[in-house]
Amino acid sequence: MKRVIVIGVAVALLALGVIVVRAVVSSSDARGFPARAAAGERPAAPAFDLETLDGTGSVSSADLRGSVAVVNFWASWCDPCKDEAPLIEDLWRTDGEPQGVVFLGIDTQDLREDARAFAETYGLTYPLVYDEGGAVARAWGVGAFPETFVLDPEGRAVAWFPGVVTAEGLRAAIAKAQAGG
Amino acid sequence: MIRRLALLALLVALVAPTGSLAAEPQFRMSDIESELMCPTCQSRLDMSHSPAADRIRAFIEERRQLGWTEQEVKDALVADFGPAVLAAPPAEGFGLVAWLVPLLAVVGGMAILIGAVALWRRRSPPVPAAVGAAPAGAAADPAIEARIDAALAALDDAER
Repeated sequence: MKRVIVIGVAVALLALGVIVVRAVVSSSDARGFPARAAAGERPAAPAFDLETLDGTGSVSSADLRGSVAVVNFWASWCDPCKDEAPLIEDLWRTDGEPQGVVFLGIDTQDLREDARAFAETYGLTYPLVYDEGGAVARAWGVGAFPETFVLDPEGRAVAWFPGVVTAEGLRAAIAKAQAGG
Repeated sequence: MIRRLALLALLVALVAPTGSLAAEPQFRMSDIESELMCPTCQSRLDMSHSPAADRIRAFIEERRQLGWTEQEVKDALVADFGPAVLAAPPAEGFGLVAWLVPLLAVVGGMAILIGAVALWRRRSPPVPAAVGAAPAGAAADPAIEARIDAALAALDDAER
């Protein structure tokens, strides 16, 4: 009887410990992704597969491979995102599409109808996907909006921009990703 | 003709209140706000004033005025924000785990406690008769009584 109790308690404690450790490791990994990108470590971007905001298709992280990619996290209720949206759209038209650089807007923690209205208001023409439930934003360690990552053709982050990007900063990051160095 | 018009007017009068009732709010804001989470601040919606929480409140109020039920509003929010927007997980699927684990933990903990107490009681050595209280009416050991009397007498002598 005593042995059964001891084994039961030990198993329960072990299971609890595994759950806690996994939660801590997963949380610290997610928080570490932007910091590692900022430190120049070129961490691999977490994988994703999201439905487009208009619901007509999907975009996955694999689709970005082979091209430099600018991944912008935004939400319609975020005021700085309203300032940034026209800038991102302009950069997409001047530095993105003509140079084969993929731009992707990930709308997260947002009402879908609000996000669609936002895209229409600001005339966004680059691909937009919807992060239902915010799982991808969490996996990427996004803590505030907007946040932007620039990925090299291998899907590794070469730059991280917390807050509104500047045209100069984004161009420099794109050039760095294109140069591979 | 007049009779038909009167009948039509009567029908309209009967139907009109039903139509307006359909847009009557079906729930109170305070009730649903306490059952939802703010997706950006991880606190309950009624305790959050973040921009996202404000927008969700506005969305709820718009739907409430349209006569949506509380469940319809919750379903719409879960479709966009995922089940984490609910303060309490649904008692189905994986959400059931959140309800069962605490219940099992309490039941399991009580079972372990009861088992442990039973084990300790069974294994604990019998209390020595000399240490425990003598049963009522039982005679004390004469030798011990004699020693106690002698000790008390010596104490009395010392006090005198």
